[in-house]
This record gives sequence, structure tokens and C-alpha cells, in this order.
Amino acid sequence: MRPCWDLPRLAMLPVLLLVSAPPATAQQLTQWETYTNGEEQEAASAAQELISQLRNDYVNKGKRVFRDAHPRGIGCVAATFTVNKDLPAQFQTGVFAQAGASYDAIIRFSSSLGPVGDHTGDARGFAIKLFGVPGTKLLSDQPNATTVDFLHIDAPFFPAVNTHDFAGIVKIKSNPKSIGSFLLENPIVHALELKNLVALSTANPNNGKSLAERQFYSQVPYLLQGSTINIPTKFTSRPCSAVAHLPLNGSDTELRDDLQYRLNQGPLCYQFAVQFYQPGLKVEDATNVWGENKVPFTNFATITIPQQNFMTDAKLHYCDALSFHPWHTLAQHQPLGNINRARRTIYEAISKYRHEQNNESGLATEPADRKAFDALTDTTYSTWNAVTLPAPASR
Amino acid sequence: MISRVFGRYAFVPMLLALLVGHGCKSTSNSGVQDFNVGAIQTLTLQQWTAACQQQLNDPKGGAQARSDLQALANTTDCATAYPVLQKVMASYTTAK
Repeated sequence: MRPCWDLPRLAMLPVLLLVSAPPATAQQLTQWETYTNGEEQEAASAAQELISQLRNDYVNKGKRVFRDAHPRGIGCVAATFTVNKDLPAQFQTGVFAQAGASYDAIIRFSSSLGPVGDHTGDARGFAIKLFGVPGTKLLSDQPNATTVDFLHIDAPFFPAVNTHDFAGIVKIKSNPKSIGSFLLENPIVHALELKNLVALSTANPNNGKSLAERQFYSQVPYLLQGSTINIPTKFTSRPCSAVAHLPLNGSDTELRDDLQYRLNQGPLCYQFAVQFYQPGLKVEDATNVWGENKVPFTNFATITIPQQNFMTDAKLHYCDALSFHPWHTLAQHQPLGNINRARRTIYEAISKYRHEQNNESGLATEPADRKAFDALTDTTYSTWNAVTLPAPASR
Repeated sequence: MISRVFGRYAFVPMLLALLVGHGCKSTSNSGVQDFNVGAIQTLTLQQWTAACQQQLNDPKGGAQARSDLQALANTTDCATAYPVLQKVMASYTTAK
């Protein structure tokens, strides 16, 4: 038995206070959402568990702390996000308010599991950060930020139905014995959720494909609210046209290498498209897939990733220090559903913790523009080739 | 709901529970049926079938449970689904 009031535990107190604050949105549910008693506590508990795992996985081993989810950045690329000129007027709201408008962006490609090599079967992330977006943002401590984030992975569903089940899955990692009680609590649904996790990782149909070939999905819904529209949506980013398949090289950095190879040859293009809610679709069940055959996507914007060299230590470091957060957004794109409400609590806690542990608290502030990233011209690429990195010397 | 009624102070007991409860006692889940499992091998066919069947027999949720079981194992029979569950668990363990 360990002493209860050891220093690491006391050091967690500010984090616990942070994650225990009830999110303001619990009282601001939309007509499509249903509040579940205790969901804030479930989210706070999951955040605490995840921070404990980060301490065990990284801090106690003298390593740099990565994110709990999508820890390993494959890379960040500069991009341009341009609203389609022919976007119908009723959809022109939020970042899409002006047809033809163009935003500087950074896109972070990532792996979902712990810091493992690119060749490991896994879900891959595609997180867009737009710069120069006017308007008050939803995160209460960053209302004047000029960024908006759109988070995707390469599957159209989240593995857990809700925050309660997500918290149960989180516990399994640190306490494998809990898998028995997790399954028996709600056997069929929880077994399906574990099957979903397998479908995202080892059985992911995208394994072996280039990131340039993949379609990425928001998984969970977001509002689209304007003067003549108010509806839950899901979004996707998909290649503008068929992309040639090239065999990956089998290394720990095969996806990064492939992406750099393609960006040496020329630009990449994705369409950003949106699905609209229909009766019968679910907002609070994050596993619910809005089938593309019944709920088609409508193109809203075009993402262009120009030819560039992103595979440098400086850019990979900058990329890792950024925070991508579903609540980095406008009210017109409010995240919906209990998983998104939990992410508000969890993402803030994790971001704060890892920036503190990496002695990078100054980098936790949202950048105002992409200038600092674009100015990283040192082409050295050595340290960040590794899948884990040492902790800062002064931790 | 607690926060709506009592405000942020309602979380103080939970904070204390988190502080005291984590690492200060054994990890057993009192009040929750627990099994000596490191993997699915110890969740027997009998245990799985009983829990699964209970869900199928639920007057309120039985229809959804059958639909979910179909999605899990392409069957509506709990015993038939067990090998699929074992396979999922083996893959899950590998994935993690």
C-alpha cells in the first residue's frame, strides 16, 4: 500500500480541481441532446484516470508527455481551407459565412494508440486548425481566439456509446481486471464497443493505405446554425479525386514518409463535406453511423495542402505543442452529444497537464496565425524520428 | 444534475474520493461483480450466456439487444456469440 498523500498526488490537486468543474454546457443542451445524470463526474473521472496513465507512461519513465489520444503526430502540414464559391446561401454561417473565403490552416495527422510506429494497425487522425476566424469562441477561457478546429479520424463512428462506457474503457487500460465487470455491466453493448475498438485499430480497413487515400470523419455531430438553418451535422474530409496507391515502406514512419514523398511531388486536395441530421439518426449515441448511402455529404469547402517539407524536428515539435479541441469553435458549430461534452472537460485537463509536464505552458495559448509555423525553416530531422522522446531536462 | 442543484461545491466529496480512493486501497471493485480475469478466458460461456440472455429477455430493451447481438456476432443466440466474443477479446488485447 502506498501512502495516500505523496507528492505526485498533491501535485494532481490543481488538475483535479480543474476537471471537477462542471462544464457550462450541461445547462445549454440543444433540442437533440439529452443530459445524463452524472456525466460530468464520469468525464472528470476519465480525465483523472487518463492523467494518471500519462504519469505512469511518460512522467515516471522520464519521457516527454504526449496526448492521451492521438499521441503520436505523424506530422503537421500547412494548408488552405477555401469555402466553395457555390455554397448555397442557407449554409453560409460560421466559418462558411462567406462563399469563396479562404483561411490559413494547419492539419495534424496522427496515430490514435500510444506512441507506436506507423506500421501498427490503428485509427489515424486528421485535425484541422483554421486561423483568422472572427467571432466569439465557445471555450470560456479563450473567447477571443481566432482559431476553429475540426477533428476527424478515418472511421465514421466513435467506439463508445457514451461517456460512461468511454470511462469504463479507459479504466481497462490501467486495470485489465476491470474488463470482466465492464462486460458484465452491459454485456452485448460493451462487447460491441470493444469490437469497435478493434475495427478502428488492428482491423481498420485503411491499414496499409496512404493518408492521402483516406476519408476522415467527425465521428460525432456538430451544430450548423445560421439565420435559416439549425441542424445537427457530421462532417468529413475526403480526397478530391482518386489517389494512386503506393506501397508503404514498412518503417516506423511509413505514413510520414509517404506523406512527405507525395508532398514533394505536388499538392494534395480534400473536400470538406457535411451530412445533415434526419429523424431516426442519433446524436447522443456516438457509435451511431449516419450511413453515407442514406445521408449523403454536401461539399462545403476545399482543402489544399501545397507542396512542402513538413518532416523536420522544428515542425514536429511545434505540431506536438498545439492543442486541437472540438470546442475551439464558434457557437454556429457547437459540438453536440455527451461524448463532445466530455471532451470539453477531458481535453482541457490533458492539454494543461502535458504542457506543464513538458515545461511548455507558454505554448498552450492558441496561436493567432500560422506565421510561427511557416517560419520554421530549419530542415534538421533526427530527434523527432523517434516514437518517444526524453523529458525536458528541467522537469 | 448534482452541479445544477448544489453548484461546484457538490464536487468536493468527489474530489476527496478521487484523491483518497486512487491508490490508497486495493483495486477491487466492491459492489460490482468482478472476475479474476486478465482476458476473456475467465469469462466463461455460462457467465456470458446468463448475462447476455438477461438482456435479450428484458421487456424494454430486448429488441435492441437482439439487434446489437446481431451486429456483434451475426446471431441472436448468446451461446453462439461466445466464440465471436472470445475472438474480439483476443484482438482487443493484441490491439492494446
